[in-house]
Amino acid sequence: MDTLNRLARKTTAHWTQQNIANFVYRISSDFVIQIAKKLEKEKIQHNEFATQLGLTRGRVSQLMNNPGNLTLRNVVHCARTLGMKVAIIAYEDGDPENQSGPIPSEIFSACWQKAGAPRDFLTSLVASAKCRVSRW
Amino acid sequence: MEGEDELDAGTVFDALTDNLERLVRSRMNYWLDGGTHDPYFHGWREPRYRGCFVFKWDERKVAQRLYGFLCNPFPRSDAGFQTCVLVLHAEKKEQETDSANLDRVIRWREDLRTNGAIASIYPEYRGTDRWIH
Repeated sequence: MDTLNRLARKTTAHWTQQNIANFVYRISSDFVIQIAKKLEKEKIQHNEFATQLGLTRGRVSQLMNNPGNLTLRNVVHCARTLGMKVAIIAYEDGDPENQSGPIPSEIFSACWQKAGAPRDFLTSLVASAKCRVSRW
Repeated sequence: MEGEDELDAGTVFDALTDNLERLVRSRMNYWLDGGTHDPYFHGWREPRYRGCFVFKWDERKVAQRLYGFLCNPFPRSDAGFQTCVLVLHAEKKEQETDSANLDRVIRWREDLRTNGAIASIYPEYRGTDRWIH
């Protein structure tokens, strides 16, 4: 029950607030989950993915199981190999002290899909206006 | 609960450092955020083990498991709330889950001392057996 006690006492900053490496790890882990889900959905084995990436299976397993050292270049390489794209999003979530940790990247992706997957600012504004009208 | 050697999940979790700690915390956070991904964590459908839960990771190619159970420490004020009480750690060597580990989790879940330990942190839990079935 030690963990329960400690978690219950932890009421201030999120663990990703302790240092940049923690924050980087968390968002890298989010990215890797998206890749893992895509591989599962497309029924692509790690061996096959490794070949497509031009890496060994061991290196891919390392990236998937320990994403802390992912570079932005590798992130883009992984995503593009699977026909996906990547956005780097800076956002304000009303939590400047980072008590709650980062918003999972899948949420941004889901919201973008829900908004009609706008490709530019204009489409985005139209989607937003339609949303306001329908609410009104 | 001090002095119970079998309850080693907290000790193992506390001993994690650097990237391994980050890995496990990231997976736990993903669960807290409402994500689902069986390779990282999951429960069981079998009625006997419903409510049991596991967080998973590999350490030097050895499968590590933290087993626990889900419960609601706010049965009256927040019916939808869930927490995972971690109970024990195991290194998994077989493909199938060692059901003895889940049986241990269930035994601890139903232990009155466990109920008391949870209630000491979440008073609303007192007198309830609101683990998630």
